[in-house]
Amino acid sequence: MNRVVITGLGVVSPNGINIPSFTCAIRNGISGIHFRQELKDYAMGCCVAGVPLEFDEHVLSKYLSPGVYKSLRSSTVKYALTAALEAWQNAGLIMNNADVQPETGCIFGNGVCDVEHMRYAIQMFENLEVQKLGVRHIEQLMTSAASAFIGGLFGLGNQVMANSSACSTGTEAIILAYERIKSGHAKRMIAGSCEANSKYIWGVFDAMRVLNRNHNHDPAAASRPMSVDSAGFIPGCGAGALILEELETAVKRNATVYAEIKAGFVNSGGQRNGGTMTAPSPYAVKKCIETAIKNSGIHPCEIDLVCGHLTGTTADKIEIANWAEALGRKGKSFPFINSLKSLTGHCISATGSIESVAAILQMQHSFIQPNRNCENIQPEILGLISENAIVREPMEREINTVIKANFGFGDVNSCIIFKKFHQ
Amino acid sequence: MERTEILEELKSMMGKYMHDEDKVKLADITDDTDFVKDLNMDSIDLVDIVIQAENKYGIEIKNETISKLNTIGACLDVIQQRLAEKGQQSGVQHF
Repeated sequence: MNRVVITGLGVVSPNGINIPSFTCAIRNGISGIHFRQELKDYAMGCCVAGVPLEFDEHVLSKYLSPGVYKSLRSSTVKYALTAALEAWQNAGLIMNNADVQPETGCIFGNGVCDVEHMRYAIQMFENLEVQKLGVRHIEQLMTSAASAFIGGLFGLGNQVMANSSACSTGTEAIILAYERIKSGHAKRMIAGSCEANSKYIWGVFDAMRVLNRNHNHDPAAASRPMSVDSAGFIPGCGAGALILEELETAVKRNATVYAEIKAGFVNSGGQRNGGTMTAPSPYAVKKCIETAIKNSGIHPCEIDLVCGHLTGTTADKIEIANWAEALGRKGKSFPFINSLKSLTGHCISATGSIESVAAILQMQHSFIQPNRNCENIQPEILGLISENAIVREPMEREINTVIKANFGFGDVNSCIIFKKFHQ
Repeated sequence: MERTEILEELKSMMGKYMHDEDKVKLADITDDTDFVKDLNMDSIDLVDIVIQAENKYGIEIKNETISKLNTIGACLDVIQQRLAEKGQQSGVQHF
Protein backbone atom coordinates (compact mmCIF):
# COMPACT_ATOMS: atom_id res chain seq x y z
CA MET A 1 0.00 0.00 0.00
CA ASN A 2 1.28 3.46 -0.91
CA ARG A 3 1.93 6.16 1.66
CA VAL A 4 -0.11 9.29 0.99
CA VAL A 5 1.00 12.83 1.80
CA ILE A 6 -0.44 16.30 1.45
CA THR A 7 1.55 18.71 -0.65
CA GLY A 8 -0.85 21.55 -1.41
CA LEU A 9 -3.55 23.54 0.35
CA GLY A 10 -6.14 26.03 -0.86
CA VAL A 11 -9.07 27.69 0.85
CA VAL A 12 -11.91 30.14 0.46
CA SER A 13 -13.21 30.54 3.99
CA PRO A 14 -15.43 33.13 5.67
CA ASN A 15 -12.40 34.31 7.68
CA GLY A 16 -9.72 34.05 5.00
CA ILE A 17 -9.86 33.87 1.23
CA ASN A 18 -6.46 32.27 0.76
CA ILE A 19 -3.97 30.28 2.82
CA PRO A 20 -1.95 33.26 4.21
CA SER A 21 -5.05 35.21 5.34
CA PHE A 22 -6.76 32.06 6.65
CA THR A 23 -3.65 31.05 8.62
CA CYS A 24 -3.52 34.49 10.22
CA ALA A 25 -7.25 34.36 11.05
CA ILE A 26 -7.25 30.93 12.67
CA ARG A 27 -4.03 31.57 14.57
CA ASN A 28 -5.52 34.70 16.12
CA GLY A 29 -9.15 33.64 16.47
CA ILE A 30 -10.54 36.08 13.91
CA SER A 31 -14.20 35.58 13.05
CA GLY A 32 -15.61 35.62 9.52
CA ILE A 33 -19.26 35.85 10.59
CA HIS A 34 -21.23 38.92 9.56
CA PHE A 35 -24.74 40.35 9.73
CA ARG A 36 -26.59 39.71 6.45
CA GLN A 37 -29.39 42.16 5.73
CA GLU A 38 -30.66 39.83 3.03
CA LEU A 39 -31.43 37.15 5.64
CA LYS A 40 -33.35 39.67 7.72
CA ASP A 41 -35.26 40.84 4.65
CA TYR A 42 -36.34 37.26 4.03
CA ALA A 43 -37.65 36.94 7.61
CA MET A 44 -35.05 34.47 8.80
CA GLY A 45 -34.59 34.14 12.56
CA CYS A 46 -30.82 33.86 12.21
CA CYS A 47 -29.53 36.87 10.27
CA VAL A 48 -25.79 36.25 10.47
CA ALA A 49 -23.63 33.95 8.38
CA GLY A 50 -20.06 33.05 7.55
CA VAL A 51 -19.44 34.53 4.12
CA PRO A 52 -16.05 35.20 2.47
CA LEU A 53 -16.86 38.84 1.83
CA GLU A 54 -13.48 39.68 0.30
CA PHE A 55 -13.69 36.85 -2.21
CA ASP A 56 -12.71 38.04 -5.68
CA GLU A 57 -13.52 35.72 -8.56
CA HIS A 58 -11.55 37.88 -11.00
CA VAL A 59 -8.48 35.62 -10.69
CA LEU A 60 -10.44 32.93 -12.53
CA SER A 61 -10.62 35.08 -15.67
CA LYS A 62 -6.95 34.26 -16.31
CA TYR A 63 -7.62 30.54 -16.48
CA LEU A 64 -11.07 30.16 -18.05
CA SER A 65 -12.20 30.96 -21.57
CA PRO A 66 -14.06 34.30 -21.83
CA GLY A 67 -17.34 32.50 -22.56
CA VAL A 68 -17.06 30.26 -19.50
CA TYR A 69 -15.91 33.05 -17.20
CA LYS A 70 -18.68 35.41 -18.33
CA SER A 71 -21.35 32.82 -17.62
CA LEU A 72 -20.03 31.73 -14.21
CA ARG A 73 -22.92 32.17 -11.80
CA SER A 74 -22.57 29.31 -9.28
CA SER A 75 -20.78 30.30 -6.09
CA THR A 76 -19.93 26.63 -5.41
CA VAL A 77 -18.01 26.45 -8.68
CA LYS A 78 -16.30 29.79 -8.10
CA TYR A 79 -15.19 28.90 -4.55
CA ALA A 80 -14.11 25.39 -5.58
CA LEU A 81 -12.10 26.53 -8.59
CA THR A 82 -10.37 29.27 -6.61
CA ALA A 83 -9.44 26.94 -3.73
CA ALA A 84 -8.27 24.21 -6.11
CA LEU A 85 -6.19 26.70 -8.07
CA GLU A 86 -4.48 27.90 -4.91
CA ALA A 87 -3.83 24.31 -3.76
CA TRP A 88 -2.35 23.41 -7.16
CA GLN A 89 -0.02 26.41 -7.13
CA ASN A 90 0.73 25.92 -3.43
CA ALA A 91 1.90 22.40 -4.28
CA GLY A 92 4.34 23.82 -6.82
CA LEU A 93 2.52 22.21 -9.72
CA ILE A 94 2.43 23.91 -13.10
CA MET A 95 -0.55 24.47 -15.36
CA ASN A 96 -0.35 22.24 -18.40
CA ASN A 97 -2.83 23.23 -21.04
CA ALA A 98 -1.73 20.70 -23.62
CA ASP A 99 -1.66 17.25 -22.02
CA VAL A 100 -4.01 15.08 -20.03
CA GLN A 101 -2.63 13.92 -16.68
CA PRO A 102 -3.70 10.28 -16.41
CA GLU A 103 -2.30 9.75 -12.92
CA THR A 104 -4.09 12.74 -11.39
CA GLY A 105 -7.77 12.88 -10.44
CA CYS A 106 -10.21 14.86 -8.35
CA ILE A 107 -12.86 14.12 -5.73
CA PHE A 108 -14.66 17.33 -4.86
CA GLY A 109 -17.98 17.12 -3.04
CA ASN A 110 -20.95 19.28 -2.28
CA GLY A 111 -24.37 18.92 -0.71
CA VAL A 112 -26.50 20.58 -3.35
CA CYS A 113 -25.72 22.86 -6.25
CA ASP A 114 -25.95 26.64 -5.86
CA VAL A 115 -29.70 26.99 -5.33
CA GLU A 116 -29.49 30.72 -6.09
CA HIS A 117 -28.39 29.73 -9.59
CA MET A 118 -31.06 27.03 -9.78
CA ARG A 119 -33.70 29.58 -8.79
CA TYR A 120 -32.55 31.86 -11.62
CA ALA A 121 -32.96 29.04 -14.13
CA ILE A 122 -36.36 28.06 -12.70
CA GLN A 123 -37.56 31.63 -12.81
CA MET A 124 -36.58 31.94 -16.45
CA PHE A 125 -38.43 28.70 -17.11
CA GLU A 126 -41.55 29.82 -15.25
CA ASN A 127 -41.48 33.10 -17.18
CA LEU A 128 -41.59 31.04 -20.39
CA GLU A 129 -38.08 32.28 -21.18
CA VAL A 130 -36.29 28.95 -21.18
CA GLN A 131 -35.15 29.53 -24.76
CA LYS A 132 -33.26 32.61 -23.58
CA LEU A 133 -31.38 30.83 -20.78
CA GLY A 134 -28.23 30.12 -22.73
CA VAL A 135 -26.04 27.06 -22.78
CA ARG A 136 -23.87 27.21 -19.67
CA HIS A 137 -26.20 26.31 -16.82
CA ILE A 138 -26.42 22.56 -16.43
CA GLU A 139 -22.62 22.35 -16.24
CA GLN A 140 -22.83 24.52 -13.11
CA LEU A 141 -26.00 22.96 -11.69
CA MET A 142 -25.04 19.30 -11.83
CA THR A 143 -23.84 17.75 -8.56
CA SER A 144 -20.44 17.14 -10.12
CA ALA A 145 -20.08 20.74 -11.32
CA ALA A 146 -17.09 21.59 -9.11
CA SER A 147 -15.12 18.43 -9.88
CA ALA A 148 -15.93 18.77 -13.59
CA PHE A 149 -14.65 22.35 -13.73
CA ILE A 150 -11.53 21.42 -11.74
CA GLY A 151 -10.91 18.40 -13.98
CA GLY A 152 -11.05 20.60 -17.05
CA LEU A 153 -8.88 23.34 -15.56
CA PHE A 154 -5.99 20.98 -14.83
CA GLY A 155 -6.51 18.34 -17.56
CA LEU A 156 -7.14 15.53 -15.07
CA GLY A 157 -7.28 12.06 -16.60
CA ASN A 158 -7.81 9.89 -13.52
CA GLN A 159 -11.06 9.57 -11.52
CA VAL A 160 -12.98 12.87 -11.51
CA MET A 161 -16.12 12.80 -9.36
CA ALA A 162 -18.24 14.47 -6.71
CA ASN A 163 -19.25 12.89 -3.42
CA SER A 164 -22.17 14.04 -1.31
CA SER A 165 -22.64 13.16 2.35
CA ALA A 166 -24.05 16.33 3.92
CA CYS A 167 -21.72 17.74 6.59
CA SER A 168 -19.43 14.73 6.28
CA THR A 169 -18.77 15.48 2.59
CA GLY A 170 -15.44 17.32 2.87
CA THR A 171 -13.63 14.88 5.11
CA GLU A 172 -15.10 11.98 3.16
CA ALA A 173 -13.74 13.46 -0.11
CA ILE A 174 -10.22 13.51 1.35
CA ILE A 175 -10.57 9.93 2.59
CA LEU A 176 -11.84 8.72 -0.80
CA ALA A 177 -8.94 10.43 -2.55
CA TYR A 178 -6.50 8.99 0.02
CA GLU A 179 -7.82 5.48 -0.65
CA ARG A 180 -7.51 6.00 -4.41
CA ILE A 181 -3.79 6.76 -4.08
CA LYS A 182 -3.13 4.23 -1.32
CA SER A 183 -4.52 1.44 -3.47
CA GLY A 184 -2.35 2.48 -6.43
CA HIS A 185 -5.11 3.71 -8.75
CA ALA A 186 -3.79 7.27 -8.84
CA LYS A 187 -0.59 9.11 -7.96
CA ARG A 188 -2.11 12.49 -7.22
CA MET A 189 -5.63 13.68 -6.31
CA ILE A 190 -7.24 17.04 -5.70
CA ALA A 191 -9.66 16.55 -2.81
CA GLY A 192 -12.08 19.00 -1.30
CA SER A 193 -15.62 20.29 -1.02
CA CYS A 194 -17.66 23.43 -1.43
CA GLU A 195 -20.82 25.09 -0.17
CA ALA A 196 -22.76 27.87 -1.88
CA ASN A 197 -23.63 31.26 -0.44
CA SER A 198 -27.35 30.54 -0.43
CA LYS A 199 -30.10 31.92 1.77
CA TYR A 200 -32.41 29.20 0.48
CA ILE A 201 -30.36 26.41 2.03
CA TRP A 202 -29.76 28.38 5.22
CA GLY A 203 -33.48 29.11 5.37
CA VAL A 204 -34.41 25.45 5.60
CA PHE A 205 -32.02 25.01 8.50
CA ASP A 206 -33.56 28.10 10.12
CA ALA A 207 -36.98 26.45 9.72
CA MET A 208 -35.62 23.41 11.58
CA ARG A 209 -34.82 25.75 14.47
CA VAL A 210 -31.18 24.70 14.55
CA LEU A 211 -29.62 28.14 13.82
CA ASN A 212 -28.73 30.56 16.61
CA ARG A 213 -31.12 33.53 16.59
CA ASN A 214 -29.77 35.23 19.71
CA HIS A 215 -26.72 37.04 18.36
CA ASN A 216 -27.89 38.93 15.29
CA HIS A 217 -26.62 42.08 17.03
CA ASP A 218 -23.16 40.59 17.64
CA PRO A 219 -22.19 38.37 14.68
CA ALA A 220 -18.68 37.46 15.87
CA ALA A 221 -20.22 36.06 19.07
CA ALA A 222 -22.90 34.05 17.29
CA SER A 223 -21.10 30.74 16.74
CA ARG A 224 -20.63 29.24 20.21
CA PRO A 225 -19.57 25.58 20.13
CA MET A 226 -19.28 23.99 23.60
CA SER A 227 -20.54 27.17 25.26
CA VAL A 228 -23.18 27.03 27.96
CA ASP A 229 -25.32 29.50 26.02
CA SER A 230 -24.94 27.98 22.55
CA ALA A 231 -28.29 28.06 20.80
CA GLY A 232 -27.68 26.58 17.37
CA PHE A 233 -25.14 26.80 14.59
CA ILE A 234 -24.35 29.64 12.20
CA PRO A 235 -24.42 28.80 8.48
CA GLY A 236 -21.39 29.46 6.32
CA CYS A 237 -19.99 28.85 2.85
CA GLY A 238 -16.74 28.49 0.96
CA ALA A 239 -14.42 25.71 -0.18
CA GLY A 240 -11.32 23.83 0.91
CA ALA A 241 -8.92 21.99 -1.40
CA LEU A 242 -5.97 19.70 -0.75
CA ILE A 243 -3.42 18.09 -3.05
CA LEU A 244 -2.80 14.48 -2.04
CA GLU A 245 0.17 12.63 -3.51
CA GLU A 246 1.78 9.27 -3.36
CA LEU A 247 4.88 9.79 -1.23
CA GLU A 248 7.35 8.66 -3.90
CA THR A 249 5.87 11.02 -6.48
CA ALA A 250 6.05 13.92 -4.05
CA VAL A 251 9.63 13.16 -3.02
CA LYS A 252 10.74 12.73 -6.61
CA ARG A 253 9.70 16.28 -7.48
CA ASN A 254 11.02 17.71 -4.18
CA ALA A 255 7.58 18.82 -3.09
CA THR A 256 7.00 20.38 0.31
CA VAL A 257 5.16 17.78 2.40
CA TYR A 258 2.74 19.32 4.90
CA ALA A 259 1.47 16.11 6.48
CA GLU A 260 0.94 12.42 5.99
CA ILE A 261 -2.50 10.86 6.08
CA LYS A 262 -2.17 7.87 8.40
CA ALA A 263 -5.74 6.58 8.06
CA GLY A 264 -9.30 7.49 7.31
CA PHE A 265 -12.61 5.76 7.81
CA VAL A 266 -16.23 6.41 6.86
CA ASN A 267 -19.34 4.64 8.13
CA SER A 268 -23.01 5.05 8.93
CA GLY A 269 -25.12 4.35 11.98
CA GLY A 270 -27.92 3.09 9.76
CA GLN A 271 -30.33 5.44 11.56
CA ARG A 272 -30.61 2.85 14.35
CA ASN A 273 -29.42 2.72 17.97
CA GLY A 274 -30.00 6.39 18.64
CA GLY A 275 -29.08 7.49 15.15
CA THR A 276 -31.71 9.23 13.00
CA MET A 277 -31.76 11.20 9.77
CA THR A 278 -30.50 14.23 11.71
CA ALA A 279 -28.74 12.78 14.77
CA PRO A 280 -25.66 10.55 14.63
CA SER A 281 -25.68 7.19 16.35
CA PRO A 282 -23.11 7.41 19.18
CA TYR A 283 -22.18 3.78 18.54
CA ALA A 284 -21.34 4.47 14.90
CA VAL A 285 -19.45 7.68 15.72
CA LYS A 286 -17.26 5.83 18.22
CA LYS A 287 -16.78 2.94 15.81
CA CYS A 288 -15.70 5.35 13.07
CA ILE A 289 -13.12 7.04 15.31
CA GLU A 290 -11.88 3.75 16.77
CA THR A 291 -11.47 2.16 13.35
CA ALA A 292 -9.55 5.14 11.98
CA ILE A 293 -7.20 4.97 14.97
CA LYS A 294 -6.78 1.21 14.64
CA ASN A 295 -6.02 1.49 10.91
CA SER A 296 -3.49 4.25 11.53
CA GLY A 297 -1.35 2.18 13.86
CA ILE A 298 -1.22 5.19 16.17
CA HIS A 299 -1.89 4.87 19.90
CA PRO A 300 -4.66 7.26 21.07
CA CYS A 301 -2.18 8.74 23.56
CA GLU A 302 -0.14 10.10 20.62
CA ILE A 303 -3.00 12.35 19.50
CA ASP A 304 -2.20 15.99 20.27
CA LEU A 305 -5.29 17.69 18.89
CA VAL A 306 -8.89 16.79 18.14
CA CYS A 307 -10.48 18.96 15.44
CA GLY A 308 -14.10 18.26 16.24
CA HIS A 309 -17.34 18.63 14.34
CA LEU A 310 -18.75 20.72 17.26
CA THR A 311 -21.38 22.95 15.70
CA GLY A 312 -22.79 24.90 18.63
CA THR A 313 -25.90 22.78 19.14
CA THR A 314 -27.00 20.43 21.90
CA ALA A 315 -25.05 17.68 20.13
CA ASP A 316 -21.68 19.13 21.26
CA LYS A 317 -21.68 17.44 24.66
CA ILE A 318 -22.65 14.10 23.11
CA GLU A 319 -19.81 14.46 20.61
CA ILE A 320 -17.29 15.14 23.40
CA ALA A 321 -18.52 12.06 25.26
CA ASN A 322 -18.04 10.01 22.09
CA TRP A 323 -14.51 11.34 21.60
CA ALA A 324 -13.58 10.64 25.23
CA GLU A 325 -14.84 7.07 25.04
CA ALA A 326 -13.39 6.31 21.61
CA LEU A 327 -9.97 7.70 22.55
CA GLY A 328 -10.07 6.18 26.02
CA ARG A 329 -8.91 9.54 27.35
CA LYS A 330 -10.90 11.57 29.84
CA GLY A 331 -10.34 14.41 32.30
CA LYS A 332 -6.81 15.76 32.25
CA SER A 333 -5.60 13.12 29.80
CA PHE A 334 -7.92 14.35 27.04
CA PRO A 335 -5.99 16.04 24.18
CA PHE A 336 -6.55 19.62 23.04
CA ILE A 337 -9.81 20.06 21.17
CA ASN A 338 -11.12 22.87 19.00
CA SER A 339 -13.89 23.81 16.64
CA LEU A 340 -13.15 25.97 13.60
CA LYS A 341 -16.87 26.71 13.43
CA SER A 342 -16.51 29.21 16.26
CA LEU A 343 -14.73 31.41 13.69
CA THR A 344 -16.35 30.48 10.38
CA GLY A 345 -19.78 29.14 11.24
CA HIS A 346 -20.76 25.77 9.85
CA CYS A 347 -19.82 25.67 6.17
CA ILE A 348 -22.02 22.56 5.78
CA SER A 349 -20.64 20.41 2.95
CA ALA A 350 -17.48 22.55 2.76
CA THR A 351 -16.81 22.20 6.46
CA GLY A 352 -14.71 19.01 6.40
CA SER A 353 -12.27 20.25 3.79
CA ILE A 354 -11.89 23.75 5.26
CA GLU A 355 -11.40 22.26 8.73
CA SER A 356 -8.87 19.74 7.40
CA VAL A 357 -6.90 22.60 5.83
CA ALA A 358 -7.01 24.33 9.23
CA ALA A 359 -5.87 21.16 11.01
CA ILE A 360 -2.85 20.81 8.73
CA LEU A 361 -1.94 24.50 9.06
CA GLN A 362 -1.95 24.18 12.85
CA MET A 363 0.42 21.23 12.58
CA GLN A 364 2.63 22.96 10.00
CA HIS A 365 2.95 26.22 11.93
CA SER A 366 2.83 24.76 15.46
CA PHE A 367 -0.16 26.55 16.95
CA ILE A 368 -3.65 25.73 18.19
CA GLN A 369 -6.60 27.69 16.89
CA PRO A 370 -8.48 29.18 19.84
CA ASN A 371 -12.15 28.35 20.44
CA ARG A 372 -13.93 31.68 20.26
CA ASN A 373 -17.06 32.43 22.32
CA CYS A 374 -16.38 29.68 24.79
CA GLU A 375 -15.97 31.72 27.97
CA ASN A 376 -18.39 29.49 29.86
CA ILE A 377 -18.11 25.84 28.91
CA GLN A 378 -21.10 23.52 29.28
CA PRO A 379 -20.88 21.74 32.67
CA GLU A 380 -21.60 18.37 31.05
CA ILE A 381 -18.47 18.84 28.92
CA LEU A 382 -16.39 19.82 31.94
CA GLY A 383 -17.58 16.63 33.59
CA LEU A 384 -15.85 14.72 30.80
CA ILE A 385 -12.68 16.61 29.93
CA SER A 386 -10.39 19.17 31.48
CA GLU A 387 -11.10 22.85 30.89
CA ASN A 388 -7.46 23.18 29.79
CA ALA A 389 -8.15 20.97 26.76
CA ILE A 390 -10.41 23.69 25.33
CA VAL A 391 -7.98 26.36 24.18
CA ARG A 392 -9.52 29.82 24.22
CA GLU A 393 -6.52 32.06 23.59
CA PRO A 394 -4.00 31.82 20.74
CA MET A 395 -1.49 29.13 21.70
CA GLU A 396 1.86 28.22 20.18
CA ARG A 397 2.30 24.46 20.50
CA GLU A 398 4.00 21.75 18.48
CA ILE A 399 1.39 19.40 17.04
CA ASN A 400 2.44 16.04 15.64
CA THR A 401 -0.82 14.17 15.29
CA VAL A 402 -4.31 15.50 14.61
CA ILE A 403 -7.55 13.56 14.46
CA LYS A 404 -10.52 15.13 12.72
CA ALA A 405 -14.10 13.97 12.24
CA ASN A 406 -17.34 15.20 10.75
CA PHE A 407 -20.87 13.85 11.00
CA GLY A 408 -23.67 14.41 8.50
CA PHE A 409 -27.42 14.08 8.09
CA GLY A 410 -28.24 10.56 7.06
CA ASP A 411 -26.27 9.33 10.11
CA VAL A 412 -22.99 9.30 8.17
CA ASN A 413 -19.54 9.78 9.70
CA SER A 414 -15.97 10.34 8.59
CA CYS A 415 -12.75 10.41 10.57
CA ILE A 416 -9.21 11.11 9.36
CA ILE A 417 -5.79 11.17 11.02
CA PHE A 418 -3.01 13.54 9.93
CA LYS A 419 0.55 13.22 11.15
CA LYS A 420 3.57 15.43 10.74
CA PHE A 421 5.65 13.90 7.97
CA HIS A 422 8.77 11.94 8.85
CA GLN A 423 10.68 10.09 6.17
CA MET B 1 -56.22 27.84 28.61
CA GLU B 2 -56.51 24.65 30.63
CA ARG B 3 -53.54 22.28 30.71
CA THR B 4 -55.78 19.30 29.87
CA GLU B 5 -57.10 21.13 26.84
CA ILE B 6 -53.58 21.84 25.57
CA LEU B 7 -52.63 18.22 26.26
CA GLU B 8 -55.49 16.92 24.15
CA GLU B 9 -54.49 19.20 21.26
CA LEU B 10 -50.84 18.18 21.67
CA LYS B 11 -51.81 14.50 21.56
CA SER B 12 -53.75 15.10 18.38
CA MET B 13 -50.69 16.73 16.79
CA MET B 14 -48.36 14.00 18.07
CA GLY B 15 -50.54 11.21 16.70
CA LYS B 16 -49.77 12.31 13.15
CA TYR B 17 -46.07 11.63 13.75
CA MET B 18 -46.39 8.28 15.53
CA HIS B 19 -46.42 4.71 14.30
CA ASP B 20 -49.83 3.05 14.63
CA GLU B 21 -48.49 0.56 17.18
CA ASP B 22 -47.17 3.40 19.37
CA LYS B 23 -50.35 5.47 19.33
CA VAL B 24 -51.96 3.34 22.06
CA LYS B 25 -49.35 4.77 24.43
CA LEU B 26 -51.00 8.17 24.13
CA ALA B 27 -53.78 6.95 26.42
CA ASP B 28 -51.34 6.53 29.34
CA ILE B 29 -49.03 9.50 28.98
CA THR B 30 -48.06 11.58 32.00
CA ASP B 31 -45.94 14.68 32.49
CA ASP B 32 -42.89 12.44 32.72
CA THR B 33 -43.46 10.69 29.40
CA ASP B 34 -40.39 11.16 27.18
CA PHE B 35 -41.14 11.80 23.50
CA VAL B 36 -38.19 9.80 22.21
CA LYS B 37 -37.60 7.13 24.85
CA ASP B 38 -41.23 6.34 25.74
CA LEU B 39 -43.14 7.19 22.58
CA ASN B 40 -40.50 6.20 20.04
CA MET B 41 -40.75 9.58 18.31
CA ASP B 42 -38.01 11.22 16.23
CA SER B 43 -36.70 14.32 18.02
CA ILE B 44 -36.82 16.30 14.78
CA ASP B 45 -40.57 15.66 14.56
CA LEU B 46 -40.93 17.22 17.98
CA VAL B 47 -39.59 20.47 16.50
CA ASP B 48 -42.33 20.28 13.87
CA ILE B 49 -44.95 19.82 16.59
CA VAL B 50 -43.59 22.82 18.50
CA ILE B 51 -43.78 24.93 15.33
CA GLN B 52 -47.43 23.86 14.89
CA ALA B 53 -48.14 24.77 18.51
CA GLU B 54 -46.49 28.17 17.99
CA ASN B 55 -48.72 28.84 15.00
CA LYS B 56 -51.85 27.52 16.70
CA TYR B 57 -51.44 29.52 19.91
CA GLY B 58 -49.66 32.55 18.45
CA ILE B 59 -46.66 32.12 20.73
CA GLU B 60 -42.89 31.90 20.20
CA ILE B 61 -40.61 29.32 21.78
CA LYS B 62 -36.85 29.90 21.59
CA ASN B 63 -34.60 27.39 19.83
CA GLU B 64 -32.59 26.65 22.96
CA THR B 65 -35.82 25.95 24.82
CA ILE B 66 -37.06 23.58 22.14
CA SER B 67 -33.96 21.46 22.51
CA LYS B 68 -34.81 20.92 26.19
CA LEU B 69 -38.41 19.84 25.64
CA ASN B 70 -37.90 16.13 26.17
CA THR B 71 -41.10 15.35 28.07
CA ILE B 72 -44.79 16.02 27.80
CA GLY B 73 -44.72 18.01 31.05
CA ALA B 74 -41.87 20.25 29.88
CA CYS B 75 -43.73 20.93 26.65
CA LEU B 76 -47.00 21.79 28.41
CA ASP B 77 -45.18 24.01 30.91
CA VAL B 78 -43.59 26.09 28.16
CA ILE B 79 -46.80 26.43 26.14
CA GLN B 80 -48.74 27.51 29.23
CA GLN B 81 -46.01 29.93 30.24
CA ARG B 82 -45.86 31.54 26.79
CA LEU B 83 -49.67 31.78 26.67
CA ALA B 84 -49.65 33.51 30.03
CA GLU B 85 -46.97 35.96 28.87
CA LYS B 86 -48.96 36.60 25.71
CA GLY B 87 -52.05 37.29 27.78
CA GLN B 88 -50.17 39.79 29.93
CA GLN B 89 -48.69 41.55 26.91
CA SER B 90 -52.03 41.90 25.16
CA GLY B 91 -53.87 42.79 28.33
CA VAL B 92 -56.21 39.82 27.96
CA GLN B 93 -57.58 38.64 31.29
CA HIS B 94 -58.05 34.93 31.95
CA PHE B 95 -60.73 33.92 34.44
